[in-house]
Amino acid sequence: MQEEEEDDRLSSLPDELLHSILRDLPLKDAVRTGALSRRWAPQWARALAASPFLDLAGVVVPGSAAATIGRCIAEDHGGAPALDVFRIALRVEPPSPALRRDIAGLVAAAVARGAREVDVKVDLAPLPVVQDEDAPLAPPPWVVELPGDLFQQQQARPSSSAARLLERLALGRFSLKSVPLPAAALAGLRSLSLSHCDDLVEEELEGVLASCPALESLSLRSCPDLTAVTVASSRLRALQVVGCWALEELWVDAPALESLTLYGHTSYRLLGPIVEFHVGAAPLLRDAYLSHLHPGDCIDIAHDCSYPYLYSAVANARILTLCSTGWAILRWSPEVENLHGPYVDMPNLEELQLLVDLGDLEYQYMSTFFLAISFPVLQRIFVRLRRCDWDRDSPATAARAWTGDDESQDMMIGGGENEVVLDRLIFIKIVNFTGAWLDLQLLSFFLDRAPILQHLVLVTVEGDEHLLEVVQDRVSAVLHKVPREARIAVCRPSGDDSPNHAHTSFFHEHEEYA
Amino acid sequence: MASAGSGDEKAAAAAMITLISSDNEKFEVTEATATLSQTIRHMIEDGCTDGGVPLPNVTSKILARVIEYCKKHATAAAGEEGSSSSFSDAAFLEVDRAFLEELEEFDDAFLEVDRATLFDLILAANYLDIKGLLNLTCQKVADSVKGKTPEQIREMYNIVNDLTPEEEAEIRRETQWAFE
Repeated sequence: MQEEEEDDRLSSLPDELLHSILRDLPLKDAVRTGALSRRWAPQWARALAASPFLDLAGVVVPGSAAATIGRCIAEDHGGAPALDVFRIALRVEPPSPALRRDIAGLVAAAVARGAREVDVKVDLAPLPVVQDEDAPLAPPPWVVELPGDLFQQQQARPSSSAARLLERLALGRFSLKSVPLPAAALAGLRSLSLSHCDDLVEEELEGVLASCPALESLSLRSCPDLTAVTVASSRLRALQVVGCWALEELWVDAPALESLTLYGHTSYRLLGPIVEFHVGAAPLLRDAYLSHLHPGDCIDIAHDCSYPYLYSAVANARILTLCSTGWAILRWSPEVENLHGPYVDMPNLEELQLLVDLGDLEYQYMSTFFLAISFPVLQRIFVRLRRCDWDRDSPATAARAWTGDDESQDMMIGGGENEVVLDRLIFIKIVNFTGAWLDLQLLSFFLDRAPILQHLVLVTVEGDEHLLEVVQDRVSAVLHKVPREARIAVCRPSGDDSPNHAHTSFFHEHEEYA
Repeated sequence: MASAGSGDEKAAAAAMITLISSDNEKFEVTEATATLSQTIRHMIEDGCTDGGVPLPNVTSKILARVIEYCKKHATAAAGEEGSSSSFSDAAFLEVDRAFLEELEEFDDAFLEVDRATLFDLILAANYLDIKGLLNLTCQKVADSVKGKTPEQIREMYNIVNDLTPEEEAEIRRETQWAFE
């Protein structure tokens, strides 16, 4: 500390600058400044209240703070502007009824302040690991019940001239049981996201959707009781249904749809009900993500006959992510099996990402996939192999030495008369590449079909020091297939600076869905 | 049209503005540098910069530092407009990244000042309405407070605690979660 500096220059700053500093602090640190002096005591709450943009979602705030924050939003700090955006992520530990009330109050306060965007997500602290095998595996559902009058009328601040309508609403771990539907205050909603709404059922979702005719974006994530989703809207542009494992039916009639993300079962469970996909034509679709990779999931071929129609629904996409489960189903689809030409034409597809899991079977079906779907303008392929120990070979394939052009590769991946050429393909990137026999098969398959390839990137698995050398050695048997002028990079994940696919969420690798 | 527009911009970039500090020192800067300050930008737009812009709230010592910041960041802004990163051209990305790193290093070095200067910079940035500089300097203060107890913050900034013990206990009790 410098001797000459005796003035308290910090406290002398004007309020607005103190607020700027407080808003740069994590919430806990900001709140602690309340104990500094009289000057500081009310400032952090005013900083929050005076900010039309309140984003506390970056850090997880303890649930016990909900009451304080709710109060500070609700209080009128003398002409504070209407709240514009309110985002918060709360971590609840331990769950208690009082916390439910406080968190519900927080949402109510934000809505009452005329917020156009409310994003409140509640996260439960992980339960302590119990060794007792009889203990229930899943934690009991803990959701916050929203107050019944929350969305009943348009909220207007006295100070604001026009009534402000909620436009974006994201709720994590809430229950809509007490909310009468349809709800008037949702009429202006353009974006809705519901996650971990443990008791959300089909009828409630229908009621909500009926309340928001202007909805453009809908996201449903990890809602375990949701068995059917029905969306009919001429406005909807983005739809995401992720990790809703009880889903049996998906009905989508959204001709303006531009983006579709589905992650879940194709069969509800083995021998259980089938998942029916009814997705209407989406001529404006730009990007689609269809993934069904899930540990321990089995493909129930007999049941999945509605699934291949999804490929037709996303046929106009320019950017697409698909998974190996999906193409295995396609292989067994009656429509595809006896077909001699392509089943679906994807005339606009430029960027394809393939999420590859499971074993030898899926590799085998790849050539069927490329025969069944035609990609006349495909430029870039991104393959993400399953993350695993660095040698993924099954005992059956591990023993087989890769000899370059041996005939066994045709037995595995196929080949034959109707061979496809991807004559616009310039970029191939394979992530989690270990140089295992199957990996080389896959690489070889693409290289055989990519006459004008310009750039090949193979990214290994992080960790093993020697893997990079091993991969470089193994891959050398295949690289003669790469056009002479093409660039080749074999690197660790940390050394990879090549482009990635537009879709960078890998739900099947996320612990939330494990 | 497009070429005429960029020609105008070039002419504007070459135009010089005189800034006059509180202790009457004159600083010649390009308009591109000066207009990082919204306050000065508005003055230029209103056409009242002939004969120099007096800045009675800013000393020459602080104004020199502020100009140093603006010069660097004005170049950065021009660089951003000029470059375009395309999918296949990794070289461009490399240049961008190097440039951003350099800018970050500049900012870090720029903030290596004593506390009195830091507060002078905050006040100058606020008065001149230079958003980037204000964010940078406020963040520096915020970082110095982060993770500290009220006692440590008081000591660091010579803050006199005028709360009664009862008042302070009450505040701590109400917001106990922040002190855990």
